[in-house]
Amino acid sequence: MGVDYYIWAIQISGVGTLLTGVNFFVTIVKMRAPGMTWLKMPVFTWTAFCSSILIMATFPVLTVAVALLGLDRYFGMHFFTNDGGGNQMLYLNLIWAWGHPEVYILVLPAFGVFSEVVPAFSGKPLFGYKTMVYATCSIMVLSFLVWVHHFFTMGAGPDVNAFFGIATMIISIPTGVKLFNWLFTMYKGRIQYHACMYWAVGFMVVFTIGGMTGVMMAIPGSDFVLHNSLFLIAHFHNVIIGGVYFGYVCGMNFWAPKVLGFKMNEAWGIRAFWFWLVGFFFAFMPLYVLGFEGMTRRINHYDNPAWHPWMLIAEVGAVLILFGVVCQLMQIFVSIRDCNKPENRDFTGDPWNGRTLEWSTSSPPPVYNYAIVPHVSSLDAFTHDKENGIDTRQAGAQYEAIHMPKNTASGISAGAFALIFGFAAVWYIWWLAAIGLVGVIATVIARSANKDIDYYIPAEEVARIENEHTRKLMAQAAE
Amino acid sequence: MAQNTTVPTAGHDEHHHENTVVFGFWVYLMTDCIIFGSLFATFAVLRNQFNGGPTPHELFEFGGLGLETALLLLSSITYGFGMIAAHKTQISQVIMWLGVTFLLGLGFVGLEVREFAHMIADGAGPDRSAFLSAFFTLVSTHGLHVTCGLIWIVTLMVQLMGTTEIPERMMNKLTCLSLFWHFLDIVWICVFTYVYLASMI
Amino acid sequence: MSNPNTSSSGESHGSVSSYLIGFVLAVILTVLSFGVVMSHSLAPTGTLAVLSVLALVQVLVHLHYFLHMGSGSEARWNNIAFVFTVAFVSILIVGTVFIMANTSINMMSR
Repeated sequence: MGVDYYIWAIQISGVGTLLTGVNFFVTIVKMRAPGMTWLKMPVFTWTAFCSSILIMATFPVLTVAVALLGLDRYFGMHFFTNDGGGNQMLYLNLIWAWGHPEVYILVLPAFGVFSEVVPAFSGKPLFGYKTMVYATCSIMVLSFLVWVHHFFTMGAGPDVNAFFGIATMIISIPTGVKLFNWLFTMYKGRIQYHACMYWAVGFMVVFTIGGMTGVMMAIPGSDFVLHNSLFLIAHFHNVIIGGVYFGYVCGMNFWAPKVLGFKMNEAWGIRAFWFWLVGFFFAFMPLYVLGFEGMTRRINHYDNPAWHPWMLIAEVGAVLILFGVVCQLMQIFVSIRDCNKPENRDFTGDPWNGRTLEWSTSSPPPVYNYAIVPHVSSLDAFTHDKENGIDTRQAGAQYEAIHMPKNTASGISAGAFALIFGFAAVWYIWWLAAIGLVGVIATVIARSANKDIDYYIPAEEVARIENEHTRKLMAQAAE
Repeated sequence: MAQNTTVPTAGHDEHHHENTVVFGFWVYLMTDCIIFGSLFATFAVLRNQFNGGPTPHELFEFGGLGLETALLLLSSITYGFGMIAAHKTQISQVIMWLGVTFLLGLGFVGLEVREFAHMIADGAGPDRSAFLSAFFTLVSTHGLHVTCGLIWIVTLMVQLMGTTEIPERMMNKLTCLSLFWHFLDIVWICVFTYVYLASMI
Repeated sequence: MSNPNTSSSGESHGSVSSYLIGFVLAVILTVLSFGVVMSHSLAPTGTLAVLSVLALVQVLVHLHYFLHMGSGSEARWNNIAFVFTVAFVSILIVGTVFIMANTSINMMSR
């Protein structure tokens, strides 16, 4: 049942991921604000764009790989079986053709977060904006060409392994470019050490080590020694924790005021960071050593006394990380508890002296985002407006009615039926699966027939919301 | 059938004259194209793994394949004629052409089901060998798409009945279905070339 | 609709004659493909090569006459998306065949 469960869980959530990718991609290509040319787009938008492309290109491959596995299991087919002409290695090939781009789907948005946070807290524009964009795009393209490095030891010959090994080493170059860009952004900047900035700087240290051990494993010859050892485990935790986890917590601290209207607690955020950072080094650096000493992954006991001290150090690290997790939860708890304290509320909508347009709206933003769509004339458009005394919001202008899509229950309904379908398919309850499937199709058809999908926010309502925010801004400025 | 997942939120931005819905569906079709690409890759790897079972020369015949291809090709231009009628707002014509397309598509699916039933009855089902697994999966994925297209055609025919004009949203749906239908025809070209004909050389 | 920007602005949607031209071309190409295989007039590799060329041309015919690609400036992103997809599918198919064939030889598994 376990495998069937993950087959259907991945298939159903994969549809959601794919459609999200399509949605972001089309939004970025077709619906940018006037004047927002490609090279005026914030880096976070660029990374979301490249991530969406990777999702659209590779999730179908995952869909196929998992579907073929399901066909093997449900209908006795012979894709990945031992007999009947099947080929297990084809499964590895397909799953990693998705799986490698997938790690860039995870980490590219985190790179985008750092590219917004580091300039905001250094009080400087991002160093090398264009190289950052080019690096993001080259990572996106190169990530299609490296999937074999997950199975160098499968038995392909030197020509295959050499090609994919070299491609893997090349991908570290644009990543290195990004690191130097962040460092040069901080150089001679007026750095404010807010919780986000701790996570960003911690990321640079941790991720760089992970990246370098990755290049070591990109050499097919050395990978034969390191494959499936704890060295590998240390490497990918180094990049996934250091890159992805640090990145998203950093982003949470950065954008929480915008989304929720209040700032996250600083003290607990910084405590969480230090426990995570120190705990990380204690927990995972010994694993590099253990990997060299021959310890493999996924073993439930060991009797090699040489490994024991290193394992104890790693355990200390795990406990420290546990404290980090507790501090993180405390930060969220305390932030929500104190959200109405005046010093935590974000009345201006721009708590960090932000550089991009989202900080020009109120926090949280109104449903329509911008009463008057801003015209973009430069990179870091909001900073440009602030420096030139332009009111991005154009407060007091003649507002117009805003066309909005209505909320719909179609998504929840389709999701609920998909859940029923997936549950039934896992437990071979075919009549229930049929109901689920028909439910999904019926939901889509009903949505297609629904003509009541949009409404207008009247101009007076827009004016009321905007004037209220303007009043708050005035009050804030008067203090 | 993802045409409803993107709702145009333009409206307060009059700079958008481009159609996001149809473009979004086109992008979705591109991802579908990658599904077929992965299945073609799988077929390419497993195409000679007969496991002592029947080979393409024993299984495939030109007659049925030719008929299937002819039906699908015809349905492509009948749908095209439907689109031309839609641009002229001749709704009864649109419904008629959609009906013809539906029948041709149904004929295609019927022929395919009959072919599969024959093969399974002769002991050449998808569990016989890796080659047959790959064959059945690739070809029936295409067939499943055609079936989805048929459901979609009926849905739009029902929605068009009794109306006197074709609003923008309806035109978008017809255009998306048009892309879907012609796209399936392109996939079929690759199927009959690389799955059937190339195996029968 | 209060916002009457027509869905077809800038998009070409073909005429009866363009659909008929596309159809006739597609029929000719399909018949040629079937004919090449049924007549056994060429060596296997030659037949495969001819089939591939015919399929490629027919795909282009369909794209042009039925999907109306490559016309107008608004089609730019449609074309970029298509080219990118073709590139990725090629990487996937060529890569998979390359990897799996190479593995089979080295492992003597087939």
